[in-house]
Amino acid sequence: MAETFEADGVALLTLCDKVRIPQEFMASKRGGNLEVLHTHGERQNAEKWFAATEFPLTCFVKFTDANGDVTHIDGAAGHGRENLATLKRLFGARKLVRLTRKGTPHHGDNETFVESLAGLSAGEVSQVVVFILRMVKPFWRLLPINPGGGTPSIATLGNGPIDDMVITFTAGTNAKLTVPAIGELPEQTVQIDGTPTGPTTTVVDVGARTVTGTTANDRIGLLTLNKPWWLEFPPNETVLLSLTGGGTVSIDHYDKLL
Amino acid sequence: MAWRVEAWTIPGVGTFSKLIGDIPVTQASFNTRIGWGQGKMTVPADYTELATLLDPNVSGSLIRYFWDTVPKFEFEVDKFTLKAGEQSIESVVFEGDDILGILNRAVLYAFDYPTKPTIDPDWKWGLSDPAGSFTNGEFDAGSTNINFEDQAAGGFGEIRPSSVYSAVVEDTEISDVSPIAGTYSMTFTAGVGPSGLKKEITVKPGERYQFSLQYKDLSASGARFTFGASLTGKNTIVHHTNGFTFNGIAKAELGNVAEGAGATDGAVQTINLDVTVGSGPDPDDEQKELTLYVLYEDAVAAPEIRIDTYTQVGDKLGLEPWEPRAIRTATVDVFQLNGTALEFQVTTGASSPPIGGVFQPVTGLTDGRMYTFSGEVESPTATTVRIIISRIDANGWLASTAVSLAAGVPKEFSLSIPLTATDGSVFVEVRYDGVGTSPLIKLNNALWAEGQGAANVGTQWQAVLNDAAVDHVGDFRGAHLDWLKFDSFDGVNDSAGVPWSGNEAVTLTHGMKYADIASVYAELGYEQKIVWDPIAVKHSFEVYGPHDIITHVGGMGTDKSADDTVAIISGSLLTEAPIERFRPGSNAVLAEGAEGIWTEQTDSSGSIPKFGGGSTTKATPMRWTKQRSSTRHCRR
Repeated sequence: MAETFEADGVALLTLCDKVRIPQEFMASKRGGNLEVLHTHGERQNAEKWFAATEFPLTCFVKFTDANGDVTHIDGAAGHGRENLATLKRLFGARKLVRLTRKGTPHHGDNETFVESLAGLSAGEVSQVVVFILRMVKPFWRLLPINPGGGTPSIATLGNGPIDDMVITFTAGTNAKLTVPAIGELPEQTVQIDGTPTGPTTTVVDVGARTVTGTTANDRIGLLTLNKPWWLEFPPNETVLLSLTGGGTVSIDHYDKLL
Repeated sequence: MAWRVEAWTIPGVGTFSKLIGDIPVTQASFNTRIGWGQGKMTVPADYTELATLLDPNVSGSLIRYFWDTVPKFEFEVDKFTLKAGEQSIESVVFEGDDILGILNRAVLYAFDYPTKPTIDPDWKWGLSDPAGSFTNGEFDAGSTNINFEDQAAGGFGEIRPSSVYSAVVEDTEISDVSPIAGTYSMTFTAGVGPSGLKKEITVKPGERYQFSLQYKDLSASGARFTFGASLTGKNTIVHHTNGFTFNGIAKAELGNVAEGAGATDGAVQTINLDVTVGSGPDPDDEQKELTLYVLYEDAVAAPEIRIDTYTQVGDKLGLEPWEPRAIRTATVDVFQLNGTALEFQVTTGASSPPIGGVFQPVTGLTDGRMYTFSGEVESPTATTVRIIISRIDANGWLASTAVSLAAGVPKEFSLSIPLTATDGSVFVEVRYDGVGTSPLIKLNNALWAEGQGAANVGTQWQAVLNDAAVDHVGDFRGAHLDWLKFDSFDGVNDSAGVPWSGNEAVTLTHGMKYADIASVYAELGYEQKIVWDPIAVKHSFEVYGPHDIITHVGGMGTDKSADDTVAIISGSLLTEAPIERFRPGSNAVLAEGAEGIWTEQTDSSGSIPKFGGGSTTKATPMRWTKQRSSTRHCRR
């Protein structure tokens, strides 16, 4: 099964004969270790976070239309330029572009958000363009989303940390979600103070860093955390959860690939 | 464990509540030091909750740095800075003083507002000089036995020449030449004709007094000296032995011989004067002034005479204007001077306890001022005395306090009142507070002074913090600082449970910010901080006594100097530290004289004696300083 790409939902094989990431990569971690006097090596600092990373995406531009026909008024060259222009428009946007990989062996569909730093065809013929894409969040998320998880546990897949779940608390007073220490993570808690009403539902979007009742982030003042990263699930684990304070909790999450 | 930053409302502004559960800081710092610290944090300029942080007066914001779930440092945003990157405003920096800075928002009310109308609105601890007519609180004015060993005249002064004592007294001094006893005696030369010295004491009419004084004339000239006493007013004096009265002065001769027969013989001679003071015409006249005379009686040039070893025995001697006080069936059995203390003993009945003690009326006071009666009481056995300030006119108590005494341990007392509507007069009184016969109670170092006594910082802080929390009717500020808990210290112990080391004399001007009050105490060495009390869910104000840098007692820190489990090892725990450099102290000085003479002084201990002098080089300092025109310091 061949792996295909989409940029913001546009299948790149309609513009290119072939699209590929020419080399495998994994994000590095940011933060350094301390070299201390009178000791060999360095002191490992366990609190490290993945850094944003970059990768090249090589696109072999079609000189036909999506169906392989030459219908352009300027012929094949016209298709080449037109497809190239469309590619540049897609990746040149001043926003994050959702890049979807479909049919990845073993993992299935997954996606990430990228920003194009450059497009070039160094050393290649002009029909081969290499976009240098920056992954601001250096993980691929496995599709589809896992909806409605909750107590007593959530099974996670993948191999990257899950840090953008959306937690929905409904009703309850001082509703507190507790995730006991698991793997390298300590115990984490997320609490909604008090008894919110109108609506009784509070949505904590860990990825967006918002806490919402009726308008975006209007309940940020009700959030009580014990860790500054809000909440993180380790990959490939059964994550236990407990809820105190009544009500219910529902968690949507994407599994992550490095 | 991890740091996290939240934003809360300013304490005291509405309900203390959380505004932001987590702030995405890109940089954060804080420093704390005793008294004041500062915090600083940077957030991305596109942070959606920026408006909450930028509006510090209405909805925010106290920035709280959490160590997991515990707030460890808090600062109030009072400044923000926009940081421009290459293309746009990238970040906003928030800064402010730590939470103690919120004390800048609280202002000290007038001391007397509105319950104690006085003419001085400032808060004062610490006393000044005696106020009003109060006097003789030390009981040492002209009342003790005198041996001149303290090189003081003990109240003996020259008689001013008059028609009766015509000669001029000369060369009066405390001398260590051939003293009668000890190291010093007093000497004087009366001149040609009658004259001498005098001294005034207070006595009680109707009581017997025995005085004694030693004389010595080194020249053995056979001169005649007397020792006498004279009362002002119409009281009479009765002699007991060998006395005679001449010119209104009850006298006795050298060696206590018959009138006119006394003569110096070169040896130490004693005169004893034993008299009873008449009761006088005025029954209310409890105290009289007695003048003692040391007189030369001959009409020729006087020899130099020495006097020494003055002693006195008698009831109520030197106690004016203190009076005994006994009403109902009580009696004052003893009322006398003992050393430099007033000693009294009373007997009260078994039921409906009568009242017995000592008092002094104080007049010349100003209504509306704060006054304090303080002193020291002591008893040979455990007992209780009561200190009272009462009104002269209505016999009403203005204030009282009971003082429990342990056997033989002097105890200080202090009682303060704001004086109102007394016509400027009060009684200050010390009573036996029990039933039956009291022990011999001593009163000493009594003082009636303006202001209230010095108090420990815990007492002072409690007073001003309690006052802040009161809604002063008519003042728009209302109650403030009510968000602050301050029960970790009291008038006995600091927040670490260590007793206050002493009292402080402090004046706090009304209108001061509470932050400035904290600075006043910080300058005296006290340490103060506001911490979050998670149990009370309130901020708690903590005050600590000064830290003793030698014993490591006191202060907010914990003494780890004797705890060998604590170690800081360079390179494992300590990876970075400021290196501070001091200009080293000089231990060598080179001096170049005007004539090109060089000299050098060194001291391996690290200090240079002034001008190269010091105890080891005393021989040269004059030459040294004279020749010096330039010096150079260096370290050897």
